Amino acid sequence: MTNKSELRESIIKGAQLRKARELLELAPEQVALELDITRQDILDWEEDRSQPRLKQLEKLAELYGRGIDYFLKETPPPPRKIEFRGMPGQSVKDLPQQAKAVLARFDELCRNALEVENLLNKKRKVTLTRFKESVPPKTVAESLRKRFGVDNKPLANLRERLEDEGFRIFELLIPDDAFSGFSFWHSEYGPCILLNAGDLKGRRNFTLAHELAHLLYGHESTLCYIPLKLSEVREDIEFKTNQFAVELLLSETGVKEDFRRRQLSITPSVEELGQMAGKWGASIQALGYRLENLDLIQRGYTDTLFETRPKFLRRSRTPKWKRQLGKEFVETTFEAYEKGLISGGKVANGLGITVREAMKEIEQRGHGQG
Amino acid sequence: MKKGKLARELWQYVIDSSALINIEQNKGVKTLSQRKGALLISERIAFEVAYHPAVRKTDPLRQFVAENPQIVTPFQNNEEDEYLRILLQPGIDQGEASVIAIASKRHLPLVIDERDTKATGKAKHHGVSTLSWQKFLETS
Repeated sequence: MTNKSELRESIIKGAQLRKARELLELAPEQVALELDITRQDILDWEEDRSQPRLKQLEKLAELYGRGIDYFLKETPPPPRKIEFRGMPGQSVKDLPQQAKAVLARFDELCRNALEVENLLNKKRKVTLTRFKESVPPKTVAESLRKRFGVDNKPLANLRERLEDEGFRIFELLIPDDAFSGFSFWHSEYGPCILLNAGDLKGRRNFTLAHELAHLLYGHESTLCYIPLKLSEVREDIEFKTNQFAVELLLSETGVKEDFRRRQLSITPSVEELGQMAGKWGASIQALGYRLENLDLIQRGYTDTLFETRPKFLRRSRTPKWKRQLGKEFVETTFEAYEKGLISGGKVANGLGITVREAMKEIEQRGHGQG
Repeated sequence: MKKGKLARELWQYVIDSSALINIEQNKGVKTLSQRKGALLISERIAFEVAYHPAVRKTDPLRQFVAENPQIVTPFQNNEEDEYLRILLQPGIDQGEASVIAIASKRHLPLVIDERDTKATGKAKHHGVSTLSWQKFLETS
């Protein structure tokens, strides 16, 4: 450890160390234990009374899920007052450490994206307006469907549409599926949504719509666990945001017409529901509940499909990094590299890939294959 | 040992990840082995090319670094501070900052992928002379 008096200047910002720790709701004692130092050392670093050595800083970076540069300059504050919804009685504190680290990685992605946009002089415009809590979810969903010009048809490419509207959307693997999605509206990053990359496409899309509702209703930073059986949802806010997601993705008129055209029974098979859900970009569960509410299939039928974790819910492979990060973020990162604004290593680091993979991608783009 | 050979081994170059990968991809890891006496990499570069969890166990650079640990140099004296100061600037990552800091403080040339204009510019800004990996191979 280095005393402040021994330093020519304070390079490491204590306030940044504290922000990183507090986002993960780690007690100084826990961090001290990991680094084999005292609690007082942690507090001294955070109060700029002394500074960690580089090796200690690297350990902190790993533990907090941050790049070293995070601790060297003031960055926008991370999301605060995170509400954990869908798991009654639980808070972020109760999440496994690896799941908490995903929140930090998400914050880092948003920070990197903003940094690259600033270097490129790109400004995001968010034009979607927020709604009062009193506006029914159906009304909000209909106004959005109208805005996107989809009438009663499936709402394709919701993620891309929202990215065009200035939303930052990333997908990361959430260990143990500890939560489904996370969202916050940041003063500098704008609206940000994190989805569990391990979920199937329909479920991810449903979570996206669900998190969108939290943002449009102006809810604080929200971490959501959406159960497989939507009937298990007890919280009013979660019920409302699920309703919004159903209304947004599954147009009442369109779904009724499609159901009749398919001539499905009141107890359709999982495959039949899966095909229809795929067309509408929603999860089987969401479609099932929509059909139940429209009295098109037997009440309570959807839950019976999820008594045990069905085979079709098992993920098959590791998701591709490009899908997780989204086209816009990836393209912006390479644009900044091509303009000489960021280094190759920064590309790799920002995209969470190896330098070799980044170079391969740069090479391919150079040959017009990117 | 011949005089010329000895001179080449005494003159050292700091090298970054992209230059290492380029040499390995274009000339093979044998070429690197032949010049190992002239190479220095930072611990961060070693992590990036060899010990990053996503680097395959069969990766030739992983094996090269593991077999030649003497090429990996920790920071000395005030290089840590210099590293952090370089890292503070936008657009530079830990690997590049680490090799620029070492090259700058030890007055050694830096082998770099010169298409990486950000890293090249930053190195020159710190008074570090850079050369492309192709030029580095020509010096042998």
